[in-house]
Amino acid sequence: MSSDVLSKLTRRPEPVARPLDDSGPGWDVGLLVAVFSLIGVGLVMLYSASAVMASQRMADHHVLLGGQVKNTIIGVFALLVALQIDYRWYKRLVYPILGGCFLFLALVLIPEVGTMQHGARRWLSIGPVGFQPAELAKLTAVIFLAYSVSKKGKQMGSFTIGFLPHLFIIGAMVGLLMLQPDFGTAVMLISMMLLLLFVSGAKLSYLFLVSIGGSLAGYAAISGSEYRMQRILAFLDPWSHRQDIGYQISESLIAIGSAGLSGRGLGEGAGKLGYVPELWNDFIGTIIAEELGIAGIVVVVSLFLVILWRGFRIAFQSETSFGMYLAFGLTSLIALQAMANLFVVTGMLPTKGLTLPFVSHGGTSMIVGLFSIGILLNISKNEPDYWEMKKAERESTKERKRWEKKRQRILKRRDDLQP
Amino acid sequence: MQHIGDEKARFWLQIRLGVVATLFAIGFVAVVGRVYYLQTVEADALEERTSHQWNQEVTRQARRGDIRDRHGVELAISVEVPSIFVRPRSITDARREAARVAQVLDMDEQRLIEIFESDRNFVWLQRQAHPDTARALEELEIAGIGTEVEYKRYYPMRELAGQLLGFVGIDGEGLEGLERQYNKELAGGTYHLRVTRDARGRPMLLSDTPEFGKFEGNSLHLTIDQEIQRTAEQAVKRQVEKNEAQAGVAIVLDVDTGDVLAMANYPTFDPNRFSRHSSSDWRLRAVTDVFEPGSVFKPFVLAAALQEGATTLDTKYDLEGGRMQIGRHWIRDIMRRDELTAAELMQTSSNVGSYKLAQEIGREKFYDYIRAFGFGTPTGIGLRGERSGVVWPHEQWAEISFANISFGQGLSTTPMQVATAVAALANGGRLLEPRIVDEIRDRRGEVVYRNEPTMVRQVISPEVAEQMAWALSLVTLPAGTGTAGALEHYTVAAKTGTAQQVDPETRAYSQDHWVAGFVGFAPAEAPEIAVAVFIDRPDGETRYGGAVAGPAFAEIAGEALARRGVLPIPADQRFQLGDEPPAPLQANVSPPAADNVVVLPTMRVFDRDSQRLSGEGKVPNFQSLTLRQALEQANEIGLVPQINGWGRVTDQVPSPGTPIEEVEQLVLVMSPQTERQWVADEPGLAGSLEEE
Repeated sequence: MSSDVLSKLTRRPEPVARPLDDSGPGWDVGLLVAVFSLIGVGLVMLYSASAVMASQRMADHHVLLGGQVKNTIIGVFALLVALQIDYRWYKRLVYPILGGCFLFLALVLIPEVGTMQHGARRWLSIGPVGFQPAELAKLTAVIFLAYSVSKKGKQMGSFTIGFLPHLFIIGAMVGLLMLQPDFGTAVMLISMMLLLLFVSGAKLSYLFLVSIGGSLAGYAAISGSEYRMQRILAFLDPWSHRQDIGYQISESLIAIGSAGLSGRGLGEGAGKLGYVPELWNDFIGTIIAEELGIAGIVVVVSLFLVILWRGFRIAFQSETSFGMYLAFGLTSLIALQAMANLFVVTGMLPTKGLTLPFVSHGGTSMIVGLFSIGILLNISKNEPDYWEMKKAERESTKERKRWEKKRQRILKRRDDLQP
Repeated sequence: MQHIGDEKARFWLQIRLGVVATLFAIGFVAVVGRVYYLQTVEADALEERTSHQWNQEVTRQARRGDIRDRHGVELAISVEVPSIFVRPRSITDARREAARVAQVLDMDEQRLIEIFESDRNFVWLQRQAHPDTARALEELEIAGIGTEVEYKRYYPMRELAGQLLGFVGIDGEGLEGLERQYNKELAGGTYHLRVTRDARGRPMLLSDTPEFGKFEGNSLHLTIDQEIQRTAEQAVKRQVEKNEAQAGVAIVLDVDTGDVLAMANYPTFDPNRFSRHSSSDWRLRAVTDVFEPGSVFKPFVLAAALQEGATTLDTKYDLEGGRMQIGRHWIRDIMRRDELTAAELMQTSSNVGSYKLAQEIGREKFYDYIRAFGFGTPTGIGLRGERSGVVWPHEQWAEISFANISFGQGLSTTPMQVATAVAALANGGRLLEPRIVDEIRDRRGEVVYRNEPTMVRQVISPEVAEQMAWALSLVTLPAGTGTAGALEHYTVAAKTGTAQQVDPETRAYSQDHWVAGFVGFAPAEAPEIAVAVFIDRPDGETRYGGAVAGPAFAEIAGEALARRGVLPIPADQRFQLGDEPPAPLQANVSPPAADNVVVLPTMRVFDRDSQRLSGEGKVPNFQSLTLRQALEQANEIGLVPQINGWGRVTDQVPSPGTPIEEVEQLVLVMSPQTERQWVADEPGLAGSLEEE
């Protein structure tokens, strides 16, 4: 019975066996090319940015580059794994995932487990492996939101069903993140929630209310913390805070501006000589603009636009509602983060501590990023839901087994009855 | 999107997705726009904000070339020293840093705070600082304070030939003397350097580091011999102080090449501390000061008369009792004699006799000879500020002027002019351009310019020159005025002078401004060196040239002869200084030589190696050679020397000139170079006061 009914149910125009007879690999090659181009640019710029620092402090100018290459390789494995896992599993396993994520976010806050860095407890070390649960939280939030809004469908318009549960779960995550504290990721999560709710048809008035509330909470968070306040001040007027909190952004702007449109040339930048701190990390955009000029920025931005385009295309072409929202969410997460980072680097947003996906130095963000790409590629395959397809079979087997058991029992009882 | 059945819902979903996508796209384009804005509109403003100037185009002066004496001894060298600067805009905590810096630099803290708080981009804190200071400051690791290597000019011999060398300003520009005159050669090129600085202002990466050396300045090799120069300066100083004089000048020339072996000035001047001297101390008096030469001029009168055939050395002159009236003026001799030969006129320095000689030549010819000896024209030594002196045209001479000029009053000369004219008497009548710069070499030691000996003209014939040598040798005899200038083993031809100077205010001869002069050459029979000593305004017991300048002359000439390895003339070849000049010197002379300028590029080729050899088969002079040079020299004559001490050779046994066959063992005494004493013949001060 099954194949006819299923094909009708999914209204699929093409036959089931599409991935097998298609000439292409069955998933979005364009997306992969764009991502690897970005990683390539990132490695080159990372080396240029860090070689001086690394050779000075670590006596080996390859240290950061080597680490990043290692992270990339692990990330590619993660991508291949994600490519093989049917994305629907995230929907099925959403609550265990959510639970795990909360566990990690809570664990990192325990002083003996989480590692302090730059005054915040963000690193979780399990044995030899260390990672940032915040990166995991972003991915989890997107999975949960995609699952939730796709499930609710037309009920999204209601406040209690379409709105409050998301607010509650994401709010809990944000609360844990703020304990680290990780203001940047918290803002990212709230933004992602608003985006997904907006797209899935939540009422604009609710969104507006949440935005107001979020802004007030944000203001409270900012004014309650001196360093956040100073970051805002530094953003508003970097030059008068140039010697202290505005140093990084001032030097970044100077490095970009004084290089001119053509840039200083690869390897010729001066920002890396200790002028722009963390240049290989959050401020890698600075060295790209400084050394490669406007052309470098155009290339990087174009690559992100390609990712954006392919990602949204995958969302449009997805055959399931969850796949669509998930693809949209993951793409938006990458785009939002890239945009926010570039805004910070060019002085259009206050410093937040967000990396440039696939380009900045950073293990967890690279691995999680490539894993997300794997998920996107898996969605792009638009494979039939084999699990669902075999559900009837599985159930009939189960039923048969149960009936068999029942029959055995009845038969046994009958035998018992028969003297 | 087919999973959404409702057309309307699907449409709105697409719209919402589209809105988000558009917003993202706008965001990314905004980033590009922002970077474009920063790199065009804001570029200049941001460039200005770079207080660090991380990629600076630094223009640096290359190392300045050395100045060395004729034996390569350094008279002026450039050494690397750190200069400390601050970039006030990079100083974060002016007060705190000022306190720290003030301790190290020994500067006023308030002043430092002012500098640190100023809006200037770059301020020198201390130019040419001590390396220890710079190191101590670097250890403070203050962002915005750094050091820069600069070159400091250093004159290791201190005041030796100070005025001649001149000095260099703090920016490496030659300001006086040879430093200024040859600034272009010495300074070398400037090179541009891209210095990349890190955030602390330390230079980090030098991209395209040029070969600094190729911009290095050329070195100047002088004809000066620093040993002779030192002796000359000491001798002049001693005589100036002893006679309570104001100033003194001594010049030593190599008569065959015109090489200036020494040019001493007193008061001395230390170019290392040029700012502590007044600008009058910078003057190189030997070429910039003019004075009336007085009696030292008389030999040129006699030479002219001999050359013209107007007299012979034994021609007798009636001195009219030592006084002679010209119009309403009188000219007087200090010693009253009735009759003297022409040669004896030099010995006793008779003014009346000199006038009579000049009369025999005739005004016009006499004037021509004065000019031919180089008076009234720059010598061509090529030093800045050289004066030419004044010789009035003979048409303007009153009779008394004519008489005055015949004994060196009423015309003005520089010491250098007198010295070159004396050298012309010594070298067979050739007036040479004095040479001060021998060679200019590039940094690899290759000669880029050689100053060849240049003859200006033949003034008198060699025969007349020899007669002059004989006649002037009488001056240093016990009966002469120049006894103090006599040397033990050499015949010295000389002439004293005590010249009255004109007071510039009254325009009349002053009773207390005299210049004591002593000029001459030695050995008289085969002259090698000419020496001129002038002491300005002696105010002691005596002002006479013989007593005031004579001892200095003897000391300098003795040193120069020893230093040049000039051997005494064997007794049988020396002048017989009797009453009558020897027969060969009486012969009358050839017509005057052509007075055109002749350049003789190879007048006397100086082979620097053989220069020291005192002759075939004789022990050479090892003085001042380094150990390696001395061993090479000894090896050439087949001797293995015994070496005592280290440094340079200061003494040797046996003395130079000893036949090699007689040498059993060659002993060389060495001592570190600097201030070593020369064993020179101490001139006896015994003898009569001159001109009496």
